[in-house]
This record gives sequence, C-alpha cells and structure tokens, in this order.
Amino acid sequence: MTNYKPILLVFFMLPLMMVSQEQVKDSIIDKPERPAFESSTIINNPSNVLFSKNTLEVQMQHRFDEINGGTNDLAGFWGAANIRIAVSYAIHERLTIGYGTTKEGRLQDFNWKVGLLSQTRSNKIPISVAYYGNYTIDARTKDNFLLDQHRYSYFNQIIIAKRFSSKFSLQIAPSVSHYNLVEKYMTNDRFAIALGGRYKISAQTSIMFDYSQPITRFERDPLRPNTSFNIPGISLGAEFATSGHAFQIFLTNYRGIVPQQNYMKNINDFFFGDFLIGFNITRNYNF
Amino acid sequence: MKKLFQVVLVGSICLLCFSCYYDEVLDIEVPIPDNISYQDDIQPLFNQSCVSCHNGNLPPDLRSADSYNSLLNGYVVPGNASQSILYKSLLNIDGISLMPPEGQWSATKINLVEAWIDGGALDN
Repeated sequence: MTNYKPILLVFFMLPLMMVSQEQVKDSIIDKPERPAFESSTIINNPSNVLFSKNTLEVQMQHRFDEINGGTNDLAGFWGAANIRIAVSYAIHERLTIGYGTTKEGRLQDFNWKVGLLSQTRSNKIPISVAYYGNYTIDARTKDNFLLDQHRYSYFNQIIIAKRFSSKFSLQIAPSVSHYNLVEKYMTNDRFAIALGGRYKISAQTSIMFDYSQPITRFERDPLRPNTSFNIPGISLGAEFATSGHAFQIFLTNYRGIVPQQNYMKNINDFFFGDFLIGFNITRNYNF
Repeated sequence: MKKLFQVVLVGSICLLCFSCYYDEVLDIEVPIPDNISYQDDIQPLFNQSCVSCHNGNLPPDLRSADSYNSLLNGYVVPGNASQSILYKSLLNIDGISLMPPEGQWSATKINLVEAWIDGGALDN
C-alpha cells in the first residue's frame, strides 16, 4: 500500500501526456476537379478534356447536307455529307496526339492536345487550361496545287474551361488559323474566339452549345458580293455519354469538321437557314 | 528516352517551322483553248471534284456516262452561262450553293466551264 503513490502519479499524469487530439491537422492534398466535359470535343471545337495515359480515343464525326440545300432531301440526309474519322492516343497524362482524315478536301490532320493547368476541387486553381494544335494537309490530286506548300494549314487554340458545378461547365477558346494559300480577299491568318458549354439535365444527358466568332475580318469576294466570310458559327445540341462512349447530335451551320476549315471558309449563316444536322461519336479504349 | 524525346522535338520543330508559308492565289489567266472538248476538258474536272457526291445518288449525275444528259436536263442553258445553274453554283451566286462545297474552283476552271457553255454546250 505504501508504493501506490507512484502508480497513482503515473495514472494522473497519463491524460496530460496524451497529445493525439492536439496534433496539427495534416494539410489536405488538393485533388483535381472532375473533368469539365465528357468528351474531347464540344461540337465543333475541341474541349479541354484529356483522357488518362494509354487511352485510345476513336472519333467519328459526321455532318449531313444543309437542310435548305435545294432539293427535297430529308433534312440533308440524302445530300452530300462530310465525315471525319480520327484516332487519338494519350501518350502521357498531359499529352494526347491524334490523326484524322476528312472527306471534304481530303484533309489529313495531325493534332495534339496538351494539358497545361488543371482545376482543383478547392478552387485554388479556378480554371483548366489546355492547348490544342493541328497541322493539316490537303491531299487532293497534284493538279489542284501549284506548290506542295499550298496544301498545308495550321490551327492553334488555347482552351480555358471551368467546371462550375456538376451540371454546368463553360469554356472559352481563342484561336488562330493559318492557311498557306488563300484568296486575295482573305488574310493567311485568322484570329477567332469560341465559347462553348454544357448543361447536364440527367446523369448521362446534357445540352451543349458552341459559338465561334471570327475576329479578323475578311473582305468580300468581288465576284460574290452577297457572300460574307465573317459569319459566326452557332451550334446547339445534346450529348449522351456513358463511361466509354459519348454521342453528340446537334444543329450547326459549320460544314467543315477540322476547325480551321470552319473559321476560315464558312459561308453558311445560321439565321438565314443554312444549318445542318451533325453528330460526333467518340469511344475510349483503355489499355 | 531523353534522346528519343530530343530527336522527336527537333524533328517536329523542323517539320513545322519550315512549312509555314504565306501566299495568295494569283490571277494567272491561262488561255482557254479555242475548241473546248467536253470529254477531254470538262468531264475530267467533274471526275476530280464532283463525282464523289454526284455519283448517281445526288442530282445531277456527273459520272462520265451520264453527265452530259443530266446537265442538259435543267442545269445548263446552252449558249448562256450566266443563266445556267452549273455556272451559278461554281460562283455561289443567286442563292445557289457553292460547288464544290469544300472550296471554290480556280478562275481557270470556272472560265473553262463558262466558255464551254457559252460556246453552245456541245457534247464533243
């Protein structure tokens, strides 16, 4: 009984020696925000989305004929269509390279998308930034071109996107398109800016819109005084997405698929009825 | 891996930097031959740019077997190019959609078609 005091002392001291509750909180590792969009294109412009490393994405993009294109052709279904099939591969978390081939103009495009900044959940980094570039070769027969360099065109775009909520995301994307050979009334370079977004109406369905505005103004072709080359592109549609697929169907006035074709050469005016139906299908394979 | 990256980087920069180029279409007037042959001068133009869509499924049928008859069935007014739908489509005037849709033809080709129509649109 005489040596209970040291034991009692130890027992009374013990609570004071517990320090676990006073531990300083670990800094929370900021996680990147979920992707702003489900697929790598917003109708006519690329989105900022990059898939994880070793993902192969196959894209099939189709544009039917203009709905007001003259004859009765089932809203363009029976008319002349434009189509592009492309593959892209993520060789790195931040870098995806791709190749596509388009019917109108026999365009072969080599493209790459680089992820520069990624939005975080705590909003410490409020936006995602990506860069998209392509180099396109017009592969029509030799007698269409005086020099081989006349076949080349380039497109560079910075995509700034923000996922505002799980339902709503928006992106703004300035770009510059360059064609090596242009008509006299056009300049070789054209600056433009695009605004696109999506609003999710259910887990797999969203409404998408895409507005592209050329900034550099072109003059009129003296032989075609009623045709303007400064018409913006307006696209509106829906996207149905699952984990491996995304399917977008939309109305647009842009006939081309490779972006610089639309920015430089579009003559369709959405509000004059020159619009067409199109769809984009993408499928991801993970390796 | 680092060496491969360097090679790829230098290679791609070389490819991209030396191919960017600024040029515009020149108005070189290629003289139009005196006798324009439909089969030798005009049909090849259709074969290059038009037949991929106008292959029988989309009027007018511009394949070599049928093109002359299809065109004279409302698309060409012999002797009058400015009234012919074919000519108007090449110039995208009067509301006729531009043909071919991927980009307007050079002035030389358009002038050749115009000269053929104005010369009577003969099947020669």
